[in-house]
Amino acid sequence: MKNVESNHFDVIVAGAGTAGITGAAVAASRGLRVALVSTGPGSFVLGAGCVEVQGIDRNTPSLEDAIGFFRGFTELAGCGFRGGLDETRLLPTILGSFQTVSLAPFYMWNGDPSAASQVAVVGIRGLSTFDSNYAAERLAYHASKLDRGAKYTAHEIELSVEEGTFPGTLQFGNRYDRDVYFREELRDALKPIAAKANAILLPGILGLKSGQIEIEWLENQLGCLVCEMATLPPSIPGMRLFNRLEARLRKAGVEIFAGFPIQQVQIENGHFKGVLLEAPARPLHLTSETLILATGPFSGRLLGASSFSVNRDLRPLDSTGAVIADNLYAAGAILHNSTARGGNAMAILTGYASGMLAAGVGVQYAQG
Amino acid sequence: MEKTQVVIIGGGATGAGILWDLALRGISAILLEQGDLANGATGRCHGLLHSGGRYVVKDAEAAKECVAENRIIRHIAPHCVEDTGGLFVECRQDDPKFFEQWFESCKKIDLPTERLSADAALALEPNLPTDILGAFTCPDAHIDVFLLTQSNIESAVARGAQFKTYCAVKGIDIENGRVKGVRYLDTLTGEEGYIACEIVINAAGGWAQRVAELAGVEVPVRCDKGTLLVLNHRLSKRVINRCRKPGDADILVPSGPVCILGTSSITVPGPEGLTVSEEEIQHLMELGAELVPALAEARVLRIFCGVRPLYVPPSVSGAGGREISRGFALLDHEATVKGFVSIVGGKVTTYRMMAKAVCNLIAEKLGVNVPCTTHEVLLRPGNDAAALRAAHTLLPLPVVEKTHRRQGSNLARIVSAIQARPELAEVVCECELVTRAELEFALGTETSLPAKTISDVGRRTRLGFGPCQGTFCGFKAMLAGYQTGRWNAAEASRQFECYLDQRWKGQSWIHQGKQVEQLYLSHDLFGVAYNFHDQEGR
Repeated sequence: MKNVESNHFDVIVAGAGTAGITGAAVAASRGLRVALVSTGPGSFVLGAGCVEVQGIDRNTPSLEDAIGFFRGFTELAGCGFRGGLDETRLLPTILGSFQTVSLAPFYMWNGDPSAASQVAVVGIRGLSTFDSNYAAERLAYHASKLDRGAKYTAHEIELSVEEGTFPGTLQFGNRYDRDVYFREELRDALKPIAAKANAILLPGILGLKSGQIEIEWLENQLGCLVCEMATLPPSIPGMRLFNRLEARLRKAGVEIFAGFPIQQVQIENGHFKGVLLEAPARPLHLTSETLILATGPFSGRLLGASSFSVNRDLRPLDSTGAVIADNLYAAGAILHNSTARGGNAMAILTGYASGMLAAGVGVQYAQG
Repeated sequence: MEKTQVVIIGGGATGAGILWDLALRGISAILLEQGDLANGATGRCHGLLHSGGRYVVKDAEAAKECVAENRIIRHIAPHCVEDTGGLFVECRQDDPKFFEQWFESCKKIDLPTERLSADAALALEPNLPTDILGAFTCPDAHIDVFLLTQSNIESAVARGAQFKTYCAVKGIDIENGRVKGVRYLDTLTGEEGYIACEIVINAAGGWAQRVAELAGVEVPVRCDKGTLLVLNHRLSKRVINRCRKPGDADILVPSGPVCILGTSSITVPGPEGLTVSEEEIQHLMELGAELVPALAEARVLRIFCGVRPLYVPPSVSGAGGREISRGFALLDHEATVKGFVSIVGGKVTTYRMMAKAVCNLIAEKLGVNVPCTTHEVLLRPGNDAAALRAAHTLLPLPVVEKTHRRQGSNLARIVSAIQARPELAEVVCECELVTRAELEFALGTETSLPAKTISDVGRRTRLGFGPCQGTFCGFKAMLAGYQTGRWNAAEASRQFECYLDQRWKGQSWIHQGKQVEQLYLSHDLFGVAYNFHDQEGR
């Protein structure tokens, strides 16, 4: 393939959610020149990127391969996912409920009530979106209903805040990344609690960029499991996951155009040509051999319809059932217009399949 | 056993106005409301303080009442009124004869109006269609119906009156053809109570017929559903009316940071279980866009509906919703049950006049010789300058203004709470600028209008009324209710589930646009990410 123009790529991936990132990673791993175009960190700011396989047909071809690829890629990015298709864990939430997941980043994974018997739920004074008493009481209630033996106790620690600000997860996350004194302050505040517990549950604050080394440092220092919970958006664990994955994509040679909404998807005679991005001075024109459209729910208008279906090769179809463009694949939540349970598993699966298709590797994919 | 002279059934504007009027006359009273204050038609209207223009052609009596009450309410409750002014727009497609008729009728009843050329009208309201023929001004205004109802109650409570929310009337005790008392059930605690009284006033609006049945009396009320759309910002500075025979979607009222378009008029069997169809919304949006074209592009935040409890005298029982007078009827059931009175029909703008009529009758029955003074006694005492000054040193200007408008003299309590605990200055609802201090005050025990649910907090403070529709601030309000000890953890969770259900319901009728994404966000967060609550209505 000829890549003479700097704005010409083998693949353009639109959307930097779970599907888009997986698709870009797969295409890059196959040696393609990839552009990742996005308006921002997708749905990562809303949660933690945990994967549920509820509602997914386990016999879907290439599901195992897709999950295997995703685990390998996240591991390389320093935010490895634990678990697998056959595992089920119950992860605690700030509302004191348990979310059923099959895969989760390592810093969430140990929240399962079977992982520890004495769990300390730790709030931070002044952090108004989390209340450890409320969470501990509800977790204890739900754990006993589920017949899990874990005991939950509520604690509160005080952390310094920048002058004139209210305590917030963004501020703490930022400082955890950059400020070694802050990390030590957090460790010292947690130490007496860690002495009497085998797991600590924290609202997500352990860095927007930190990786395994920085987070496991805290666990090692405390000698007890540490697990985060996603807070109300922006969710720090989710933003961290995004930042780590994006950094890894850059390393793999993917070019990233972040902050630019797509103005137009150019299709001529049933063939995708390029995209126009809304950039400050004038539209930015990128062209490629293939487009992977992973722009999330509510973005069907890019193809001129509020929703559309796809064929077995993830090619979007128009209202008459004809393929819209022979070199255009759709992946992720744009396919089902909602992010119901199992959304991330679908995103990984379709992201993986579209990346492989873009690389010319035929994968068997049938919509579940 | 509790004892009082008068029991009022219904906590809308009318019931609250009666409680205040009686308090001023020194007559003891207890108000019972089955839900929260302003939970029925009062809280589900446009929030329009009518100038009278809407009724002037067809119902001069109703229009005259509006003219008079409009002036009085501006005087007694300035904190509830946003003096937007209003326009009656002459649209090209409407009957020009009606314009002249409208103008003449206004002159006859002294409704202050001025005729504007199309250019002048467009200069005032650039969002009107460019092909309008002209417009008339009028003194329409926005009225905060929640605040109005609460202010009446608060003032009455300060003079010794009582009220009970979430208390449904279960029976009216009648002995020898005379009212003896009222049995009620506290729907939150499950406790039953009895109030002995001499007089029962039925001010239950859409529920008036059911209340009357408890006394074995018939009160024919027609429930006429009106659907309203909340749009995410103000598309006009003034209230925009279409100058024609009253019809659907011909009033747009700017209200705080949003504006409200309505309504429809559909007869329904009762005041509960209302739904809105997609066609109805489409119909309202299309008509609304004829009046303000920018509406077609606007984001609909939520859709709500309420019922106008129209009084149907036997003579007009075949008439349609719009033909029945918006006037009110005072029914003295003396002949069948002594001490039982119903007040039905009417509208928010004339709530005070309705209360006056009832209270005149009650005063006469009780032999109390004190005239009505609600037209001159201010509902809220003057400003607390010291508290206001202190607030300006603690909070940003827009927060001070909104908090002061909502809380009036309670501002002093909010200020001292922040002085004691500076973290209470945190703004928890960013759309309506509600601080944690105000939130905790609404949930606390110091207020005379304690909130019992998260939606109550919304009606006290407007928390959750903005674009996020409580997705973020509703959660914080739940935690605040837990932290202040109003609810235990299980109760707090249950409260939040109910709250999400209500907020989701109001958005589930919206089928396109940005608000659908907002709703999905809420569903995904609380339904999927937190596995907290099932997503109904999806």
